[in-house]
Order: sequence, then C-alpha cells, then structure tokens
Amino acid sequence: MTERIWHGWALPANTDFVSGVRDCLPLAVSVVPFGMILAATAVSTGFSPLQAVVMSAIIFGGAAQAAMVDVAGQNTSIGVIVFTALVVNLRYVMYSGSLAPHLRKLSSARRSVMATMLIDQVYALAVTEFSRDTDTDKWWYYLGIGLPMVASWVGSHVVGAVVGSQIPESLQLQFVLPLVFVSLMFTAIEGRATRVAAAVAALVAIAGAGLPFNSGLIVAASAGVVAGLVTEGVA
Amino acid sequence: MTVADPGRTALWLAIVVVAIGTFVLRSSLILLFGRTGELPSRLRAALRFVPAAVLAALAFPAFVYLDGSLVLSPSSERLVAGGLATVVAWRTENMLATIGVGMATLWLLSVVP
Repeated sequence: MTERIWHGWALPANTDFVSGVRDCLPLAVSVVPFGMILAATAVSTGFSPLQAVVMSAIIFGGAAQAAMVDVAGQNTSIGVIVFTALVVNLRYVMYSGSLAPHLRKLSSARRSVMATMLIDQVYALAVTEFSRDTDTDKWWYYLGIGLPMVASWVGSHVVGAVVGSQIPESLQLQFVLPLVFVSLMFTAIEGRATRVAAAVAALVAIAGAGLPFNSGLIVAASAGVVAGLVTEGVA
Repeated sequence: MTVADPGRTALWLAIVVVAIGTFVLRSSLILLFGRTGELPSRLRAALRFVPAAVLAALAFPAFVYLDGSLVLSPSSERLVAGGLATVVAWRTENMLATIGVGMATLWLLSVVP
C-alpha cells in the first residue's frame, strides 16, 4: 500500500493505479480497431447502433460478441445465440479460478466489480503482476488496467456503430468474424495438445455444419476438448 | 443480411442474458473461493482446451460453406481468402493483419472474376 500526498489529499495506493494504467495502455490502444470493426459488423448484420454499444459495455468480450453477431446473422433462434456466446466465454471460469487466490482478502463488492472487467488482456496483466509482486494493491492496480480497457473498448464501439451504418453490404463485412476467430484461435494454441484440439474441432465443425440448432458447434468443441485431453494423456 | 427472424427486441433479450451469464462465469470462482477451494484438476484441464476448440469450430465452417453447401474449390473466394488469412494468423498471430489480408483477398477476388 503506497500513500502519496497530492494537493493535501492522501491518495491511497495511487501509484499502483497509475502503474496499472501504464501497463495496460498498449493493449487498450491495440483493441480500438477491433472494437470499431466489430461494432460496424454488428450494425451491418442488423443490430441497432445502441445495441452494438451496449453489448460492448455489458458483455465486454470480443470473442463472445463476435460469436453472437455471427450466429444472429444466420437467422437462428435466441437460444442458440445465447448458448454459443456462453460457450465461448467458458474460459472465464478458468481465469476466475486462477485469480481467486490473489483476491481472497478483498470484499465481495470489490471482487464483483473486478469480475465484470475480467477479459483476456486484464487477466494476463493482473495474474502476472500479482504473482510478481505480492505487495501490489490488488484493487487499485486492477482498476488501473481494467478501466482504460473498458473506456477504449466501449469508445471504439461508439465510433464503429456510427460508421457501420454507412458501410455497403457489398463489402461482405460479416466475413470479418471468421477471420477474428482464426486469429484468436492461434493465440489460444500453445503446444501440441491445444493444436490437436483445434484441428479436431475444426474438422468436426465442418462435418457437422448441417446439424440442427447449431449443435455442430458444441459437438465440435466437445470433440476438440476430448482430443486435447487424450493427446495430453498420451504425450 | 438483416436479423429479421429473431428481431431487435429478441436481440436485446439475448444481449442481457449473455451479459448476466458471462458475469456468473467470470465471478464464479472469484466469489466462491474459500468455500469450494480449487477448481478440480480434471475440469481445469478440460477448460484449457475450450478456447482453441471453440474458436476453430466457429471459424472454419465459414470458409468452406456458402449458403449451406460445401464448396471446396479453388474458385471459392471465401476458401482462398480464409486460407490465406489462416496462414497470416498462424505466422503473425496479429489480428489486424489477418483481417486485412482476408478482407483484401475477398474483395479482390469478387472484383476480378
């Protein structure tokens, strides 16, 4: 806990907030183009500009938002849209479990606020810092990385939603979505077992694309997870 | 390609439900920790494969299907654009480069028949 006197005000742990902001700045800037493209794609798929912005704020996760827009564009039911997005977000349980030991001493209210900002980038920065330096003020450092991410993510959606309605359909903007997924997939692949999981899931998804209620996705994802576990057990 | 079927009101419902569900997933172990202890190791092992598997399953059908039918010909714009973008994603792990190459290829191929 660091205290600084600033114009007569004691700012508790202010330096940890500032170092959080500094750490997250490159990442906060790097998500701006993605946020703009995603919002523009959502609007051109039939989401209202307001919906595109609100979903960025309350769902706050690019992969799940992209999955929702993707599935909504295929004229499916609401249940399928919701289910797909939540499957994409299952990884947050893993992040939640990994951060939990570091946040034990904080109040439930603070932990809840922190949970709303738990995205890939925030998780990566927070877990690195908390493991490196146990004296870091968890609350203020986390806000330092989380709040700029929220601001840049939602802000970029505002711009993208406004621009999105001007983009002609001939540009086939929806094709951005599978490109986003491929790019995120390679980020998620680390080592042989995850590579096998991805390859098996891709093949099963292609084979099962005709299955009702988009169930090909969950069948493919399950097959991929099993393939990954088997590979890991063998290796 | 507008969302005529679910409609805007239904989309609001989907957005709110996903937001609540996502919060439950994010806060689950952060809030429960202490009462439940650690995540079971088998579950943790399985969850580790979910991102790569789900993202692969979301991505690749879009490259090989067009309006519901399998198109595996080099004349398919989506297959070529998706294939090139996959190589870029693999080599660079850079999302903007992937989107840039994929979309540029798609546009180029749809202008040049």
